[in-house]
Amino acid sequence: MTGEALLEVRDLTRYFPIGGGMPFGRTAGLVKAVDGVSFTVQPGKTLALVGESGCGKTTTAKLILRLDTPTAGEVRLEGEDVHALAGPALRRFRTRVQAVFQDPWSSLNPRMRVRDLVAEPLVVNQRVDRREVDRKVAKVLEDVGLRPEQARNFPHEFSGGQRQRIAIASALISNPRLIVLDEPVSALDVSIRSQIMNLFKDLQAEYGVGYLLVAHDLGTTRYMADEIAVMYLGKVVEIAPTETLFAAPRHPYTRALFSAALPIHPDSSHEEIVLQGEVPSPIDPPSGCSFHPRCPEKIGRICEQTTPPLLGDRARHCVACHLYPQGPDAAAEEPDRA
Amino acid sequence: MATREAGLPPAAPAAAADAGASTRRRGWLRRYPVLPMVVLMAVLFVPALFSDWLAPHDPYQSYLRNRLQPPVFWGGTWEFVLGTDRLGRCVLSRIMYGARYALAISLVGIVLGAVIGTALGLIAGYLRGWTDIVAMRLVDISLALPSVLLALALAAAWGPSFQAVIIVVAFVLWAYFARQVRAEVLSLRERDFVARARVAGASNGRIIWRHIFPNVVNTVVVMATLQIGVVILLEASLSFLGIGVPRPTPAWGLLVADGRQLVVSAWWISMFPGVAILLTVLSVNLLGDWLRDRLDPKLRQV
Amino acid sequence: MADRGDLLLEVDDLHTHLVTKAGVLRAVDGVSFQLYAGETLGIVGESGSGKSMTALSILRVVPKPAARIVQGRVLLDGEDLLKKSDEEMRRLRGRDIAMILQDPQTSLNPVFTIGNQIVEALRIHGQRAPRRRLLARAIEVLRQVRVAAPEHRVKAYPHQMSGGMKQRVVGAIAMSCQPRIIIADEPTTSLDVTIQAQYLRLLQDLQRETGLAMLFITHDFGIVAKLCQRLLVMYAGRIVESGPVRAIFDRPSHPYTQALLGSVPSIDIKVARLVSIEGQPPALWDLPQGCRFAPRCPYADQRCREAYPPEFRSPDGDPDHVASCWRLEEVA
Repeated sequence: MTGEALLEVRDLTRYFPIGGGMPFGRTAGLVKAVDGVSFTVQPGKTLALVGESGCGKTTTAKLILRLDTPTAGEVRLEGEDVHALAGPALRRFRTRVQAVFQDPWSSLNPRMRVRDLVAEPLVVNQRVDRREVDRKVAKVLEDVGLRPEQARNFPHEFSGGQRQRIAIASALISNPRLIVLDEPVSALDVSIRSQIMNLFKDLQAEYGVGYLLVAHDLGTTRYMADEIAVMYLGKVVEIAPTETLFAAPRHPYTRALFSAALPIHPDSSHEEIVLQGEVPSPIDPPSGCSFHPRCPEKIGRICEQTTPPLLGDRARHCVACHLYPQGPDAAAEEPDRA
Repeated sequence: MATREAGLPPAAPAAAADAGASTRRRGWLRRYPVLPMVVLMAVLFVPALFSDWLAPHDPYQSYLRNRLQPPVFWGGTWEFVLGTDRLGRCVLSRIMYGARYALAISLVGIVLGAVIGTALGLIAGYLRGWTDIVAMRLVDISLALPSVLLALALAAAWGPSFQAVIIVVAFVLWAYFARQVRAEVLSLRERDFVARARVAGASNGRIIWRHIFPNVVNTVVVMATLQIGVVILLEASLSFLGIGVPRPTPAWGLLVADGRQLVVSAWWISMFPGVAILLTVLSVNLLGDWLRDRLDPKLRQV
Repeated sequence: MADRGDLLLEVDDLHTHLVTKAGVLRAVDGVSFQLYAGETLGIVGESGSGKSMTALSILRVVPKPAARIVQGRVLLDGEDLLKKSDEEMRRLRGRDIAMILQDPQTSLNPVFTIGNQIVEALRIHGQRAPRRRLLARAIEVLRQVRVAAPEHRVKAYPHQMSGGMKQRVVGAIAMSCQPRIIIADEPTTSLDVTIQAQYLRLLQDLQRETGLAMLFITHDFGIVAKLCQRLLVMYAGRIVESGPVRAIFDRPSHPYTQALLGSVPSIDIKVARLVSIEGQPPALWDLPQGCRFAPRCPYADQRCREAYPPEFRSPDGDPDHVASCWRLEEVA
């Protein structure tokens, strides 16, 4: 790929001890929420983290936002180790990475005016005078499709879609290089979602900002992402540019996910792959490849014993599956009779 | 995810704006708890502030020739509307001046307790860890100690005094505030708007002050209002036991205590201060309930 | 057209109003449709469309005292449910018509085992049998909804189960008295995608096995495409388009349906730009005079704003496919 990556995540790991947070409690086990995740986000592009509950995508997002500390691995923003920052470097980081969360009703402080909500990332990190702040607030509100006069109002006077716009304005005001989007449209009405998704795309074109999109809806992902990483139980099982992935998904979980996604027309047929069993909990993940208990294409003993590594051309398609020991572009393995 | 987009009016005021003026007036009556407020004004606030002008007599003045006069409707005269006590002091005047003490003790004591308790609750709830553990043990200890014991100790050391009562009040109350505020903070700190403030780079102090505190203020105000009744009763009990406000201050608890031996013969000495306490506490509680319903954000939706 | 089963349920001009501080919300404002045995009828709409309130009105479980069913008939086997006594309705709910709600968390009582909850459902509907027999039936019903090891699950508590499993239990409770109609209100919204696929497949199997009719309420066109034979599209308390699912997907005739279908990103094709619907969903206490979608409709003209359009046939020729839009008048 070209140039330096905007965000680089390498072997990121986060284990949670079970047994309470008490300093003297015994640790009964580990929740392996994120278990060695690596990917990059290019400047001005969108990478989507896709997966179901328990896959670790939200925890990964929190680690990137420095809302949590990793057990191992690193997060680098434009080359700098994010978790080693302090003081003015940390403040600079805060202006360069922002977030938009899922629920427009709980992500805005009901007691603050829109103006203060939107200006916060600016005001907290830099000394900017009042008039300059007002000017920037007005501009960013216009960019997201709201009127500058509305800066005086409180969040409860707005609809869900408008509140999400306020959240987006707040994320934009410090001119960030990366915005983490955590299911930004799932809590909105269907007819509003497309408005907001289009807004995201327009803002990306205008500001050149990169997105890390956490989503469970594949349609949204296909529309917004340039690259997709599929996660399962804390690991990335497949990662590829969007069109490559949709054209030729390799990992059995990815294929099951795609087939489970709902069609857009009664006649469009997806190959029906209905997985057995529940989405497992990350507390006690299965040995070897964590997908093997549910995998319809399980080869044999090797799937139970060895964790498949993520193989492939880093710039194109990578997959972690014993079916593809030479990477996704080579021919698939045949199921063993072992 | 249940969405709450259309169909529900955001804050209603715009829609009701064109309702007729007369409907608005009638609605006002129903929307505010008028009766408790009127009673409270009459029994607590007006006497407390204006007793110098309104009270018929000096509360400390003994009219030895008019001792144990009954109230005007029980065979007495209009000079002493609610009768006099053993030392010939006007019961009504003493009750009116007593309102000052009730008000002062509640206000100062509650504010003190609320400020300490809220501050501790905010810090403990937001920072968690050792701060939280230590603070909560302090709360447990404080709740376990009976207030009477503390009042006794203070009375033994300094003699009964106005300041001692306030300290006891603050001591009794702070733990309740701390616990309640901490509980709210625990749930607030998980909300997305706190996460976004952290992402924006806000410091802990800023988050607690600008984000968490404004969202617990309502709870604190409601709690404070509902504690007024408790405090007045506490003061009354302590004074009744002799370890509260010193004689001859006309604090309501003392007034009730004064008439203890004469409850059957000169019942008015204890009865009317008792009624004043009852009306005050009742009104304050009704007001507090109304405030809570009004301010509770969970009930704010249609 | 394939022969339908018998007509089970007919809703005729239903009106349900919600009284609030801001005024009267006409949540359901003149809704009529039929439901036949063996078919799945989908109701699609967003918040404020009235779809959930329609379902609640059928079973007369609208939130009182704010909500009132003010007009209309709901005919089950020819009898009007709105005229029945509370006692009769109580007996009917769960036995003839069962409901599955969105949030499995709140549908199940956390302090009772799921065996108990199913047994209670059976008891409410007059099944008088010793507990052992009822428990056996509970195990049977759990098996019917494909819960693994039902003999053990019967003793489990709701918090010990995942969301998908809980939703199956809710389905089991609904199925326990062998209802003829199931009303499902967004039952899969809180479920993961692969679990959702399992659950929808389960519903399809159950329907095929028992011949029951399903009223499926959702905002998701994908579910409709997969599950439903017929579809109603609701907007601001009224049905704006109805007909066979295929017909509506092939030729959406109401601008709202068109915009909605165009605004959903598909995983099958890469779209350059999604259709975006301007404006906000309407305020139900302040509805416009004419067509309610007119403020947001790219084709609206004077007539649309003045008068509410009646139903017209869709230009695709299917007699069952109708939409309330003035633009269809010329074609008819």
